[in-house]
This record gives sequence, C-alpha cells and structure tokens, in this order.
Amino acid sequence: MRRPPAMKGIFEDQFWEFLKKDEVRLQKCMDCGEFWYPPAPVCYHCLSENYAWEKLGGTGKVYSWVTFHKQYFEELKVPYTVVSVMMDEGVFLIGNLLNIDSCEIKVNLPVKLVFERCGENRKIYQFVKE
Amino acid sequence: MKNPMVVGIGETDYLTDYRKVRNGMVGTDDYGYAARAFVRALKDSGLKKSDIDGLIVGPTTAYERMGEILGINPKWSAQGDASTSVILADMAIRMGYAECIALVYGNAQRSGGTQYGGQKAMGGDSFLSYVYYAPWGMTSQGALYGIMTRRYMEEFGLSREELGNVAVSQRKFASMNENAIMRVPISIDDYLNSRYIAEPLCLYDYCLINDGGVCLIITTEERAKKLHVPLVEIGGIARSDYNLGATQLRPRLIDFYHTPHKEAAERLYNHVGFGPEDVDSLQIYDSFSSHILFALEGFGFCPMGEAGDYISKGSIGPGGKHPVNTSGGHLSESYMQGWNHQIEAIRQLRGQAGPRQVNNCQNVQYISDIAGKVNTIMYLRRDH
Repeated sequence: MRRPPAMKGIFEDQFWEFLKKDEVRLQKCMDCGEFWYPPAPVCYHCLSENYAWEKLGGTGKVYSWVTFHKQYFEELKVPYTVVSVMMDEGVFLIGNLLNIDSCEIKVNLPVKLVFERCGENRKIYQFVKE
Repeated sequence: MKNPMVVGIGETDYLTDYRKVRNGMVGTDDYGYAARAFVRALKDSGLKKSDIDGLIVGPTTAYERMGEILGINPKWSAQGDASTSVILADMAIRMGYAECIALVYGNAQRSGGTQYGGQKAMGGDSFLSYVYYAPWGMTSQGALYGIMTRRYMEEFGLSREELGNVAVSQRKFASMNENAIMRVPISIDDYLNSRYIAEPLCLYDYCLINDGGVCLIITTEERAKKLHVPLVEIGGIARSDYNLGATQLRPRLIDFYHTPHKEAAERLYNHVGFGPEDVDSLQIYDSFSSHILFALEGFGFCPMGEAGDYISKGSIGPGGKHPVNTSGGHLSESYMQGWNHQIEAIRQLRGQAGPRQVNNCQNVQYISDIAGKVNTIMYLRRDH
C-alpha cells in the first residue's frame, strides 16, 4: 500500500536504504556503546562520530498505542492504530500492528518486526504479534 | 531587586470573531488581531504608544512586519511563545534594556486554515516528532497526547470518566465568561458520547481552533506605581526541559514530563517561599485535557497517579481547592497558545474576573509543558 513520505537527510536516507534489505539498523556508538534514534550525526551521550549501523534483534513489547479516527493523510484511511514498541535494545520505535485488532492490544504484548512493501522502490518496517 | 509588573492586558473578542469567521466573514489577519489587542492593552495601562520601548512578538507573526505595522522602533526586542515571552520581558526589565515592553500575539489560525496534523503540521519545524512518523500515520499533537494518555491510563488506571472532568470543569468556568467561545455546560455523558479524534482522546479533550490576539504590557515597579492600574508582579519564574529521546516520545511515555515539572516546581516554590497548598489559582497550558493531570502531579498538587481521583472531587472547578483555567482555557475559552492564560491570571489578581472570580486571589501560577519544555510563572497581587 502507498504511504506518506518519510523525512529525508543524509542519515535518514541510510536508515531507509537498510529497510529495503529487510533490516532495521540504528546507529550505535563505537566509543560508549549507546544506541540512538532517529538517525543523527553524533552520539547524544559522548558526542562521538564513531558509530556503526547495528542491526536490531527484531523483538520488543508494546508500550502504548493510539487509534486515529480523524484522517490526516490521503493514503491512510481511518480508523487505524499506531503503536509505540520498546525494542529489546531499549529503543522506542513507532509502527502499526498488522495482525491484530486494536481492541486486543495491551501493554507488554510481545511483537516482532516485519517488512512491508510500499510503492516501487521502498519498504517500511511494521510489527506483528509474536 | 524589584520585580517587574504587568500593567496592561488586552485581548480580542473571541466569541464574536469565532461566529464571524464561521459565517465566512474574515475581518482581519494575524497582525490585525495583534493590533486590536495592543490597542486595548495600551488603553488598559494608561500608557501611550510612544512609551513602548521594547517589543516581543509571538511565534505566529514576523517580528519586523509586526514592528512596521504597529509603528514601533524599539530599543530592545525578542520573539517567543507565551511564557518564554513573559520570561524574556522579565529579564529585559531587570537588566534595564527596556522600560515598557509590549508582548503581542495574533493568530488567524481558523480563517487561515492552519493544520495541526499531516504533512504540513504546524510546529513540525521545531518539534520533529510532530511530523517524523508520517509513513506510519503518526501525526498531530493530539495523537502524541493520545498515546501519552493511553500509557498513563494503563499505568495508573485512569478512566475516561475521570479524564472527562477536566473538560466538564473548564466548561463550567467558560459559562461564566462572556468572551468564551464554548459556553454551554457539558456533562460527563456528553463527554463520553462525543466522537473520538485520536482515541483515547475525544472532541472535548481537544482545544478550540479560533482567531484572536493577546497583548501584555510589562514595566518596572517604579513606572507601574505611577499608573492607575491594580498592581500585579512577576514573583518568580522557572524552566526545566526534557529533550533526551524526545522524538522517540520517551519524555512523554516514560516520564509524563514529571521530571522537568518537579525541577521547575522546586526552584519556583523555593523562590517565592510557598508551595502548591498555598496557590490560589492555576492557569495550565491545555491544548489537550491531559496536560492538566500531568502538571498537577508533577508540581505536587496531588500524588503521582492520583490526578484522576483528585479532579473527580471537584478540586479544579469553581469553588475547588485549586481552580484551574478559570476562563475556560484552551478547551472552552479560546486557543491562544498560552497567551490568554496570562490575561486570565492578571484579571484574577486584579479582582476583575466577574462571576468566576476566585475569592481573595493573592497569587496565580501559570504552567506550560509544551513538548517537555516546562515553564512556570508565579504572578502575585501587590498593593499600591
């Protein structure tokens, strides 16, 4: 399905390139070991530019959610639900839960990353219940 | 060091203008609303335009154009949101950079069709989370408060009935305010039956979108005492921010902004020498109803996780222990992005709030926590 465009930028573009290969990779500081997200030029903790794009394990737990009843994007019909997931690495990712009704969502529900094609040359990460 | 004082207040006719705009009659623009409020604030203060030597402009208008339209060449100027502008004026007066500062705000957001969600969401330039998650459909400040409120409900057991008391209580105040846009009282049933926008938040949890303008004039104590207005001083200010993990929504979901609330509270209350139990009225930035819960807890008006119970007892409504948003606030009076709250604070301290006047009101605290940037101001009544 078509989806609204993502932000662009030299760090953002790399994040979206990895998604095409079915990978969520985040910058991890090679000096102090901290992950950060969204992509940024330096480590927020020690300000080092020495980082690597580390692949996330792919599992996490639902932290909270919100259901849209007002439509903001022509591509996305309402209602739909957005979840915030705390990944096992401690980073929060936003996404949609594909295989569950919104009334079944609860805190700490175990979920894992999947990848969805959206448009010609673009993929997006999503979540499914484990 | 003597405290700066607020000597002039002005605002536009929110209800009249709302009706006009809804009927397709657009009378003016951002600058026009600001100018109307400026004229009223000058008249209120007894100062002349030529007395104004400092100008602070709100975020919705361009500084130079505002100066050009109002015909002011100030010797000091700045730009900021409502509480930041008051804080900047306080600093400038104390430093002697200017003596009489006008703070002007105008926003034709209803007639201008300002969007608060989607690809062109207002604020997206300043707060990445407002626009960053568009591919997953996550947008709008309301949805960010929706996901934050859901987490709070799950963690502390807040019910929709409890949350609904914020909207019901503020509407009671608005029914006593002739300039408020939404004046018909609502019940909890009305609240529960209204449509969801970003569930768990419904229509009545959201602020209005309307046109208007606000102006404050702030000066030195010496100058204020020569004017014929009731005296209100800026007794204390504090700020504390939580930026780490902001776009991941960490300060919202994990903290509910309580860490910066507590830090700001401690400094403000230490400075003024009294605490929450002695605060006579609160004006809290309320783009969404849940702001009120988070701020009440963070500033120590009730224990953590108990705000739902606290507001259900009528504590924030007319005659309550801590009346909150006595004009109706953003939910029911007018959405002037924190500016109208300053006016209401001054009006309460002057004893000019009519049927909604808080008895023997000696101090009013303002709190805003926009995107985890917590500002708080204590306004105090002073005798001539």
